[in-house]
Amino acid sequence: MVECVRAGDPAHFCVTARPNYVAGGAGLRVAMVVLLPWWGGIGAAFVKLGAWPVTLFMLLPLLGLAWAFHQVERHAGDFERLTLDDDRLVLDTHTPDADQHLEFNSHWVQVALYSTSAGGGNVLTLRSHGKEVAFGHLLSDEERTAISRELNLRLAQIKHY
Amino acid sequence: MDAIAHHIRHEEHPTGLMRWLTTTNHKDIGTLYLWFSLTMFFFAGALAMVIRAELFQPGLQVVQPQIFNQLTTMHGLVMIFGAIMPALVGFANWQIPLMIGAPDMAFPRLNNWSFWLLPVAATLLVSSFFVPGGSMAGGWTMYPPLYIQGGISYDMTILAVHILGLSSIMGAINIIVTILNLRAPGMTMMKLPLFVWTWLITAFLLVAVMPVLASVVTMLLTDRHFGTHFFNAAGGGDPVMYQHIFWTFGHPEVYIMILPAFGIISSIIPTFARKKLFGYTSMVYAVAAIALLSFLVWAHHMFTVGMPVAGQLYFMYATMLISVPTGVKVFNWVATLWRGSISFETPMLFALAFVCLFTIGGFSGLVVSLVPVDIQLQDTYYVVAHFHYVLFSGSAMAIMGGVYYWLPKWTGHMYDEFLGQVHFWLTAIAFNITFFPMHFLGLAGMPRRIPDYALQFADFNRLSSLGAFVLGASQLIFLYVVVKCIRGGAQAGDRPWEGAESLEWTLTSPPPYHSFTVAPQVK
Repeated sequence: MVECVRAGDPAHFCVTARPNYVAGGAGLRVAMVVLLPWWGGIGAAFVKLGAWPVTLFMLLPLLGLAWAFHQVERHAGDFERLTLDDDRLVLDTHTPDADQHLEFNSHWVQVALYSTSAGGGNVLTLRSHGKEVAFGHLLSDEERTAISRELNLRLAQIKHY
Repeated sequence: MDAIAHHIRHEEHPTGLMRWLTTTNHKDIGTLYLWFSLTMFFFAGALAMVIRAELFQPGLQVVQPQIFNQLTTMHGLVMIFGAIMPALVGFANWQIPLMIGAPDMAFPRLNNWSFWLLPVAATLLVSSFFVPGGSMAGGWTMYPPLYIQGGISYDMTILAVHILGLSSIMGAINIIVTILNLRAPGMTMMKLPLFVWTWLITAFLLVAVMPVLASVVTMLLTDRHFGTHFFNAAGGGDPVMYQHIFWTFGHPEVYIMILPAFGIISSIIPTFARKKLFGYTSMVYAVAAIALLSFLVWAHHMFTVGMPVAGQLYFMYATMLISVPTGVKVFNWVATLWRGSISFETPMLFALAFVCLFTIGGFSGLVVSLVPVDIQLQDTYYVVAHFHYVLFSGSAMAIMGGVYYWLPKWTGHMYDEFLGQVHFWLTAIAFNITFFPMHFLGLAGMPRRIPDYALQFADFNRLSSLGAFVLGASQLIFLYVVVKCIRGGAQAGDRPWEGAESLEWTLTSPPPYHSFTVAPQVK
């Protein structure tokens, strides 16, 4: 999902993209409330009967499910934010593994929208001083196109003044 | 530049063989599952044709008894694990993201891996025909002591079952996370299409019981090769414990194969009755109740092993209790039809046949839930008739109905309605000719899994075999209709069925390769 904050003047603009996750940690709780009593009850019964491998095997998918929800939860806070603030264009990205903060000079930065050869997709990049980074990993093609257009318009106005 | 390269790779997709090997797209993977399932359906169906050819008349004509046992075992295993389950997972892959407004499954790479494990397992199963001693012949339930004593093909089967189980568990985890975490804004749980609900509950069943199957076949393996005696009576083990563990998996497995079929039918009937599904909330609770009860009735498959009367009574009554939520569902489908503007396109015909024939299968299930009756009918053709009414006219016909229902959306073309109806009528009539007489054969005492039989069973067997040959041949029409629809045909609109309401019908037909990249707002 994408949030845009636009000021009246062209030099102030902020767009934030986040992944579209709805349930957060509730999903894991629901899954465990359903599955843990089953695992405990059946697992204990089979241990008592001497079929202990059943209990071990039943634990593995529970761990898998917990891992899956953990992964989703871990990435639920991911975001990409592009902030145009007078002379600066700031790109912030957050993932569980790395945070990135890049600043460009609004007068020099170029916004490019590449079409990819197949699938009708596109890639939005910012480049300046020999450096080029992508923005919009969490956006759709249409959103990238719209943001590229708006950003180019605003940057042109800044450069003009 | 790395980020850019990564981004470009994400948006592009390869073509040709690499597209299918490396795809992480839910639609591609759904298509792969469905084709795999259809291939296995024809393979296991061909085995069934040989079985029915052998049973066409008394005496041994076509195959020797050992081969016959291999055919029945492989037919059961492949139909369950190779045809029905993958077909339903194929539907899940195609439909769940489209129905909840998600761009894809939560773990697309895991999804790819889940599918590509299947051909490996299928190869192991099918190639076991060619190893010394032939394929496994101890029945799809893999009971010891036969499965402890068999040759290399039994090890291949155990490995194949492990791989199939792993694939199912990974798929189930993916489905649970997708449904709980990737719904579009506004898509609350009680707004989920019933197909999605049935799959959510089925996925929980899979996570709960597939490891039980994996563990029990592992114990078989260790009994065979590593000197353990879990089930080997000679070493103090208990073969009946195998049955308890197996059916702890096996009975919920029956519902794993039927609950998503309920979901498909619950999508089709309101569409062609042009009414909202009657009693949506009660349908959701009924599915959950069926799933819960499915854990509590396993020993009705083993009334004849010798259990205390109290145990028999408990499992009999608990089994009969399942008919209550199932009855709620059948009532709601009929109530949805009541005063609807019904039209009888092919998907609707399959759905109506499902309601009628699955109900017959449910009733014959009630019959064998009665301990005194079951003790008489255990391992007779009555049981074969019962589970084919549940699994063929239940699961398989719901799958066929679902294919006709969503084929215009998937391909962008309308299927050939005339041939679809021919396929339906041939299937429905031939199915009943094949399996209804089996009730009489079972009541008369004909045991299952035998290549030869007493003369008094000859007439019904001949009728059954004739029905089976027509049933088998009519599935070629299905294949033809599907291929013809993929290759072309009248253009399907975005919403080819006027009564269809869920989110997938808001997309173009066929939907774009990357759909719902912008999450829809559900009101």
